[in-house]
Amino acid sequence: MMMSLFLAGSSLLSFNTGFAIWILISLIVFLGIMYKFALPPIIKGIEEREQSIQSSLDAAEKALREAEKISKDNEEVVREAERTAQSIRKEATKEVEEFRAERMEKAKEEAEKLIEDAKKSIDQEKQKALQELRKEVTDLTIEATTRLLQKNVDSETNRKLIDETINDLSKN
Amino acid sequence: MELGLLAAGIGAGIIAIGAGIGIGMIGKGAVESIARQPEASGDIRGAMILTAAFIEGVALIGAIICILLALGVGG
Amino acid sequence: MFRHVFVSQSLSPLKVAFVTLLVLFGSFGVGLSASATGVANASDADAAETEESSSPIDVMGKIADHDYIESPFGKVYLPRIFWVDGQFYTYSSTKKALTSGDFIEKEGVIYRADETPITIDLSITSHLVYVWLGFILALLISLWAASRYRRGIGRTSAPKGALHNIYEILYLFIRDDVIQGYIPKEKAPRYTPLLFSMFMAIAFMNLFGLLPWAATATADLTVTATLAFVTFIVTQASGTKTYWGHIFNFPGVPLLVKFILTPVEILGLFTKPLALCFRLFANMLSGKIMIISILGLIFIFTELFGATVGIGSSVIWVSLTAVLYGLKVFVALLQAYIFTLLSAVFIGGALEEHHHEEHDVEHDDVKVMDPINA
Repeated sequence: MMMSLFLAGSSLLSFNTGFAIWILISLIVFLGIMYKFALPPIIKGIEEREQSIQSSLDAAEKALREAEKISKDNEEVVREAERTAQSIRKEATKEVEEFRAERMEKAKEEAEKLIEDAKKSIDQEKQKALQELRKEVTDLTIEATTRLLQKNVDSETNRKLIDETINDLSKN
Repeated sequence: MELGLLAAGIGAGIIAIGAGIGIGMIGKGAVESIARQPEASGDIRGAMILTAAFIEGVALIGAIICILLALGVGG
Repeated sequence: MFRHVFVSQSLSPLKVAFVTLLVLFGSFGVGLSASATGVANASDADAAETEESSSPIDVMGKIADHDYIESPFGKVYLPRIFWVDGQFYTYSSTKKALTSGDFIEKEGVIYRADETPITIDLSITSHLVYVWLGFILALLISLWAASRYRRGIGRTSAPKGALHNIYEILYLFIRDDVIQGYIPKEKAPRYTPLLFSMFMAIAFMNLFGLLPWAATATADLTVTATLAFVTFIVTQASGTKTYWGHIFNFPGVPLLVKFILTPVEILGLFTKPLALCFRLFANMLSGKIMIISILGLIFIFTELFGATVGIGSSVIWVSLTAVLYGLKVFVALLQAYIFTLLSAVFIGGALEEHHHEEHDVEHDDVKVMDPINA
């Protein structure tokens, strides 16, 4: 019974020329319509879209690169500014430091000079005072002595003597 | 006719063995390659299907001959 | 898996699909039995109508080409066109041809009344109808897609809708992975329309075979041979000097070897498209035979063990067929892909151009996979 399943098998591997002619004609018509009407818009449409996608991708890439460049430039500028500010600050600090040191030096010098002057004037005043004092003392002594020894003592000789004494005194 | 059926049966068995070994080897190679290089699994799968189809084609040609034998077309 | 679906109440969509398939195959079975009774009809020229008409199913009758197409409403007879000795005869059906008295039938073969065999039988057959249907469907979808692209959908914006997306994915897949992968890029655009059209046509012809009542046009050797013939012609037409040089005057081998190599190469010229045609044919045919045979087991079991066993076991056969149908959908698309891919490989091989001194080095990494040795 199973044999009956495969009865018409001899036609399985047969090649039918008329059928093949039909297929060939239909295939040519099919391919013709596909080539002429169906496929060109599809191929062109997809290519166009691909191109537009590609170009927009390229544009996006370009924009991205530009933005990166700009941000890099900005960064550079900021860094430059920072660097300038840093150097300016450093310079200013240095200048201030120098100025202060200079001023300090000057002030010190001035102060020293003032002290010196003061000392000098004090010395002078002292000397002057001493001189005056000496003179006064001498005069007073002379007067006193003169009053005491008006008669017997030659004033000139006495004065000399007293001066010597005072000088000895002041030296001591 | 009886001998034709016998031949067809044996032939079909041998075809199954051959195709089985072939497809098994493809599968083995593909799985090993994917395990080694998982990132190339797409390409490997494509090549695997393609090669399996080649083997299948050969096996089916054999199967057709078996059918012809079973039908007694060869006499 | 299917038992689970069958039992489970929660998986309603799957269950519905399963029931639909069951009904579909049930009607397929009815069609089968109808054809089994119809086999005995004397008007069937190609079908087996002689010996055992008591057979429950007729596998080959389902596969072979007919002078009618089956529809859910019965057979529709197709016109017969004969060309005998430079003369055309057209009839609306085989019966008309026989009753007109110009043709007689002898052992299933039709002769003219004076017993001259038909020179070329240009009859429209069931397979031809499905070839046309495949072409027409491919054309309609392509024209529809073309109109959308012309309107700007897909050209300036992304494609809309599932069908349009699938179409574009298929096109891009064929163009980028199949054609540009094997044909040199600068020459690929010339072959893209041809190969894509072939892919669409073959895919639709293959998929038509999945419908109950429909015939698989690609399960006919004539169809696949014609398609392979187109590939063959295109391959030879685009052959470069290098290609022909490799066939008739293989570079870099001694003269004596050339005498052996040239016939082998010429043989290879023809075996490549032959393998192409047989691969598609055998794949589609075997799928068809398998499904018909497995469904036919229902009727065989009924005849052998009674109706109860036959109907009871049909659950197994129908679920097995459902699995096979899923496989067949995959195979239908895969075979269309492989046919296109191998056509691209052959054409790419013919287009190859490189210098002879580099030949030995380059031949190893040429992307051509020889289907004969594979």
